[in-house]
Amino acid sequence: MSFIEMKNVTKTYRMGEVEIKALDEVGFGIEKGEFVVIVGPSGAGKTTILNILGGMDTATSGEIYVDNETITQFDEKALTTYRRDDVGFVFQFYNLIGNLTAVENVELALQISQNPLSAKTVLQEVGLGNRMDNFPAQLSGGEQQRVSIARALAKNPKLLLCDEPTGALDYITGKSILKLLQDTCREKGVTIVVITHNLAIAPMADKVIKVKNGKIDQILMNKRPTPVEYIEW
Amino acid sequence: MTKGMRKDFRREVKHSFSRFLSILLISALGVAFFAGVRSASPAMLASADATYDSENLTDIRILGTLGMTKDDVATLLSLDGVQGAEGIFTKDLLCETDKQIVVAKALSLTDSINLLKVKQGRFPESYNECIVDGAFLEASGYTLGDTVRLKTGTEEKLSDTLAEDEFLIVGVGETAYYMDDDRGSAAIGDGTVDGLVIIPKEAFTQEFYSEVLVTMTGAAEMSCFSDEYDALLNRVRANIESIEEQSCAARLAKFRQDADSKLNDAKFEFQKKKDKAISDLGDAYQTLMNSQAELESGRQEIEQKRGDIEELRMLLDSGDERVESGKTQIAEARQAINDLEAQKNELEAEIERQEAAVVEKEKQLQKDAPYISNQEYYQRSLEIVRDTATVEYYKNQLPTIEQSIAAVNERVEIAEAFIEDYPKAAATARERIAEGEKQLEEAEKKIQDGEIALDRAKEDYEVASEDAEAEITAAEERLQKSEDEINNMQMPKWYILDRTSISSYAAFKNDADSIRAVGTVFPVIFFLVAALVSLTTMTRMVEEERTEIGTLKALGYSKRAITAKFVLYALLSTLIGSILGAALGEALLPTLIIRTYRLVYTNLTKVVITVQLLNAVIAALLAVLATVGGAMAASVRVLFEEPASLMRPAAPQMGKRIFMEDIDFIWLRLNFAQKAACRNLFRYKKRLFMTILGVAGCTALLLVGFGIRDSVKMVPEKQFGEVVAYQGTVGADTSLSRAERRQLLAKVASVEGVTDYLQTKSIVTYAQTEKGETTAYLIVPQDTAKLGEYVHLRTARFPHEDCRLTDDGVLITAKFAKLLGVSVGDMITIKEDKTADPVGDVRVAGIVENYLNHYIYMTPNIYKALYGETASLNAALIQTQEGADAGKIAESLLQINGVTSVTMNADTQRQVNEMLGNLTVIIAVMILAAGLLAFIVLYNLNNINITERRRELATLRVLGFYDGELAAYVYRENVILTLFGIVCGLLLGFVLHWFVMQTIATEMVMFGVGIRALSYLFSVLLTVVFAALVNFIMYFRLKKIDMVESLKSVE
Repeated sequence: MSFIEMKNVTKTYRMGEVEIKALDEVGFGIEKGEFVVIVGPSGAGKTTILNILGGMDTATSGEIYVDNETITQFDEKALTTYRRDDVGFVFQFYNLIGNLTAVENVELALQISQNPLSAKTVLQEVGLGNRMDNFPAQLSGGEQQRVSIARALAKNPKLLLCDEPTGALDYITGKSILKLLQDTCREKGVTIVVITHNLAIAPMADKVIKVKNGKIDQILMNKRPTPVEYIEW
Repeated sequence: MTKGMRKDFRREVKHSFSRFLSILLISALGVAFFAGVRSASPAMLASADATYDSENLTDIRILGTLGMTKDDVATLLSLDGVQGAEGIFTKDLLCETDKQIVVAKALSLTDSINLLKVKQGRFPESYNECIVDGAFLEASGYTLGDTVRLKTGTEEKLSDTLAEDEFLIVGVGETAYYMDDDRGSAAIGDGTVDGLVIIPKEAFTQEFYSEVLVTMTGAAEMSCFSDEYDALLNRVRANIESIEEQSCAARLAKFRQDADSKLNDAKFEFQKKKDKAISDLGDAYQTLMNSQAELESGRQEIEQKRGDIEELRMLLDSGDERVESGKTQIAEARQAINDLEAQKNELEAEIERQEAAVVEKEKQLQKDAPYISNQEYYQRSLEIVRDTATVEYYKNQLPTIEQSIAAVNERVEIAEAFIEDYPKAAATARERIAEGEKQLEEAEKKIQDGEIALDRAKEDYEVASEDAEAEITAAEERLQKSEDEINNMQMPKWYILDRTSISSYAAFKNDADSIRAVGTVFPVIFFLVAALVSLTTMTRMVEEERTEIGTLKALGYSKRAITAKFVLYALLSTLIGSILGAALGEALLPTLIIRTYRLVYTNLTKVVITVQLLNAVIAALLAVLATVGGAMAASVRVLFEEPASLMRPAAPQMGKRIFMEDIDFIWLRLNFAQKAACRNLFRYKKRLFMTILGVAGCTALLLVGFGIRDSVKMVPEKQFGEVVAYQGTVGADTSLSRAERRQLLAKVASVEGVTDYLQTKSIVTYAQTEKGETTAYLIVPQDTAKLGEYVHLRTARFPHEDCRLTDDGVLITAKFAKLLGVSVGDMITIKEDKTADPVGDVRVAGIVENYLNHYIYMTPNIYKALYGETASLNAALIQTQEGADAGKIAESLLQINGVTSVTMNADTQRQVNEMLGNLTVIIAVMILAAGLLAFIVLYNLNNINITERRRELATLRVLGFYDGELAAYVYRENVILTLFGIVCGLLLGFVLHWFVMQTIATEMVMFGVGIRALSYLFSVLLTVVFAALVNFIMYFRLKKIDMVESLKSVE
C-alpha cells in the first residue's frame, strides 16, 4: 500500500435541495517522499481533495489511508491531532498572523508540535535568516510565503499540503517558492502535495494527478521530473 | 439615491439583518434604560400625587397644644387659600385580643378630607361600628364582623374619649396617609401603633379636636412635589399663622374659664370630703374610747367575781374545821351539862336538906320556944333566918345553873344543827365556785379578745387617720398645683404641619429621590456604552464594505450618495431602536419600579406613568448622533482613499512591537502565548478601550448598587452598634416634682431588663451659624462623666479619638457640624426654634461621630450659663440587658406613671432596616443593568473580534489547534481585558458611589462612604460571571469557525 491511499472518495455538498458532487469516486496513491502536483480547472475538486486529505473536511464516502492510518474514521479531535502532528499547510494567501513576527509565526506552530525543528534554523533554510524579526506587513509576498512554508516545515510533518502556493505571487517569486518546495522534498524526503490550476508546473512533479469535474482524469508519472529552473509559464 | 442603490440598501439590511438588529437592540436598550429610569422618579411622584388627590389628602394639619375648637375650624375655613377644613379626633388605644395586645390608633371618620378607600365591607353607619385598616386586621387577627374592644391602657377613662368601648368591624379601608406599614408611635403598649380603627365622629366624647385637616384651594391641580405647591403652601401657612395668636388666645381664655370652674368644683368637693373624713375619724375615735371603757368595767367585774369565789373557797376550807370543833364542843358541852346537872342536883339536894334542917330547926325552936330564953330564941331564930337566906341563895343559884345548862344546850343544838346542815351547804358552795370559775374564764377570754380587737382598732384608726391626713395633704397639693397650672398656663401653640410630617410621604419622596439619583448617573453610563458599541459596529460595517465603496466611487457615485447608505442604515436602525426603546422604557421601567415599590407602599393605589418626552428625545437624539456620526466619520475616512486602493484588499494591519517588549524583565518571563496575547491587546485599541469601558461600567454599576446598600445599612449598624450605647429613651412628664421623679426613676430601674439609666434634659433646639442652620436635639446629661458610657464620644474620622464633654464647650455631631459649617473652636448660636430670638452662643469643643439625627451635648453648667436656669431633667437614657425584649421593656416602661414617651432604639433600627429593604429595588435594577451592559458590550466586542479574526482563527485550526487551545488564544485577551476592566470599574464605582451618596444623602442622616469588602467581592464575581457567560456563548461560535475560511482570499 502506498504512503497515502485514497479509495473511492466521494464528497457531496447539499445546497438546499440540490446535491452537488464535488468528488466522485476519487482514488489514487502517493508514495512517501513524492512530490505530487494535482492540477485541474477551477471547480474541478482540487481544493476538496486537499481539504479532505489535510483533515479539514471529511469525505462523504470512501477511505483515505495516511501512513497506515484510516483518517476517514477519525473523529474531529483525532483529525485535529492529525493536522497538528502529521500535516503542514502552505496557503495561497500565506495566512500569517499579522501581529506576530516571522519567527513568532513559526513559533506559533511549534508551540503545539510534537517534535518540532528550531524556528530559526528553518527560517534560515527558507532564506529568511535576516528577516526573522520582521512583521508580515514588512515582508514581500514571496517572503511571507517562505515564512508560511517555514511554519509548515518546522512542525516536521509527514505531509506538506500546498494550496496554490504561487497563486498570489509574481512569476519569479513563484518560481523561487516552487524551488524551495522541490528542494525540501528532495533534501528532506517530505511528501509534498501541491494544488494548482497551472499545468505548466506539472513537469516538476514526480506524479501529476489531473482532476476534472470531481473525477480523476489522468495520473501521470514523471520518471525524470524537470528542475524548476527549466520550467516556464 | 438611485434605484440600484435603494435595492442595494434593502438587500444590505436583509443580508446583514443581525447587525441591523444588533444596532437596533442596543440603541433600544440604551434609550429604554436612559429614558425609563429617568422617568421613574417623576412617575413615582405623579403616582403618589394622584393617589393623594384621589383621597383628598390633607395639605396642612394643625395641632394645638390645647386641642382645636369648632371655632378654629370655622375661622380656618374662612381663610384665603383654604378650601376645606375638618377637625378630627385621634387617640391611641389598646385592643386586647386572645393572643396579644394591639395598639390601635382610633381616628374619627372624615367627611371631606383624608377620604378612606373601602376595600371590603362598608363605612360605619352607627356610633358603635368601625372600619379598620388591613394592618389592624393583620396585627389583631380579627376579621370583618368581629367586635373590637378598646381600652385606654392608662389610668384615663375610656369614656373621656369614646362613648362606647366595643365596636363592630363593618369594613376594611385604606388611606394614602399611611401608604406603607408604618402607623407611627404611641405612648401606650409597646409604643408602636399597629393599625387604625376608624370610628364615626359621634362616638367620640372629646370636647376638642385632636387636629384640624386643611386642604388648599387649587392644590389638587398641582403636583404636591412641585415648587408652585410649595409656594402655595407657604402662602396658606402664612395666612394660618396670622390667625394663630387670636385663636390661641381665645382658646386660653376658654381653658381658664373651664379650669377655674372645674377647680372650684373640685375645691368644694374636697372640702366636703375633708369634713366628712374628719367627722368619720372622730366617730371612729369615740367608738374606740367606748369600747376601751367597756373593757375596763368588764375587767373590774372579773376582779369582784374572783373575790367572791375566793371567799366561798375560804368558807369551804373553814367549814370542815368547824364541824370537827363543833363536835368536840358538843362533847365538852354535854360534859358541862352533866356537870351542871350534877351541881344542880347537889344544889337541890342541899336546898332540900337545908330546907328540912330549917324546918326541923323551926319546929325545934317552936317546941323549945317556950323553954328557951329569948336570947336563945333569937339566936335560934337568927340562925333559922340565916339558914333560910342560905337556902334562898341556893335557890337563887339554881336558875343560873339552869340558864347555863340551857345556854350550853342551845350551843349544842346550834353546833349540831351546823354539823347536820354543813354537807349540803358545802355542796352548794362548791357548785357556786365551779360556776363562778367558768364565768370568770369566759369573762377573761372576752376581755382578751376585746383587748386584741381594741389594739387592732387602735392601729386601724391610726392608719386611717394618717391616710386621711396624707390624702388631704395630697389633695390640697393637687388643688394647689391645678391652681398654679391654671395661673401659669401659657398661651397654647399651634403646630402647622405640611405633608412632609407624614412619614410615608417623606419616605416615598426619599425613595423617589434615590431613584432619581440612580437615574442621573447610571443610564448615562449605560447609554454611553450602548452608543459606543453601535458606533463601533457602524465603523466596522463601513470598513467591511470598502471594496464596494471603491467600486461605487469608481463608477462615479458622489461621496454623499455613497455615505447615504451607511448614514441611512445607522439612522434607520438607531431611530427604530430608539423609538422602540423610548416607548418600552418609558412604559415598562417606571411601571416596574413603581410596582416593586408598591410591595412596600401598599396603599399607593394609583399608578401614573408620565411621559417624559424630553428624556426620550434626548436619548434618541444622542443615540442617532452616535451611530450616524460614527457611520459618517468612518465612511468619510474611507472615501478619501483612492478607488483603486479601495478595491484592493486592505493592507494587512501592521504588526507592532509594544512597549512591554522593551522591558526584558517582564517580556522574557512571558511564554509565547502570553506574548501573543499582549501584542493582540494593543493591536485592537478600540476594542481594548471598549471592553475595558464595558466591563468597568458593569463592575462600577454593581459596586455602586451594593455600595448604596452598604452605606445605608451602615447607618443603623454604626449608630446603634458603635456610637450609641443605650437602648432606649424614656421621656418623663415635665411637671413631676423632684420626689415623684425619683420615684419614677426607681420604677424605671426596677423594670425587668433595664440595667442602668442616665437622667438628661433632652429638648429640640435650633442652631445657626452664618453658613447654615438646622434643628438638633440638645442633650444635657445630669452626670457629665457618665455620658461617655451611653454615647461613644469619638471623633468622626479615622483614627477615632475619644472626646470628653467638659465645661469647655459643647460637643456636636459630624453631619450637624458640616451643615453648620463649623469646626472645633467655632461658635454656634442656639435658638428655641427657627423664628425665636437667640438664646445665646456656645463654643464647639468637639465634633463627634454620629450617623442619625443631630445632637448637641452640653454640660449642666453650660446650660445654666446659656439659659440662666438649671436644666430641668425630663428624660432618661436607659441601658438594657443584652438580648432583652425591647417591646416588653417599652410596654413596662409606658405603664409607669409619669412616663410620657418611650423610644426603643431597636424599633428605630427595625424601621431603618425596613427602609433598606426598599433599596433592594435599586440594587436589582443595578444588577440587571450591569448584567445587560456586560452582556451587550462583551457579546458585541467578542463578536467583532471573532469576525475580524475569522481567518486568523481558521488558520490556527488548520495548524492543528484544539478547540480549547483556540479558545484560550482568544480568551486570554478577554480575561486580561476583563480583569483590567474590573480594576477600573472598582475605581470608577468607588467614585460614583461617593457621588451618589452625596446626592441621596438627606439632612438628618450621615451615610458612610464605606463599601464592604464583600460588596467588592460580589461586584467582581458577578462581573466575572457575566463575562464568563458571554465567553461561554462565544465558545460555540468559535467552534463553528470553518477552516475553509483560511483558504479564501483576504477581504
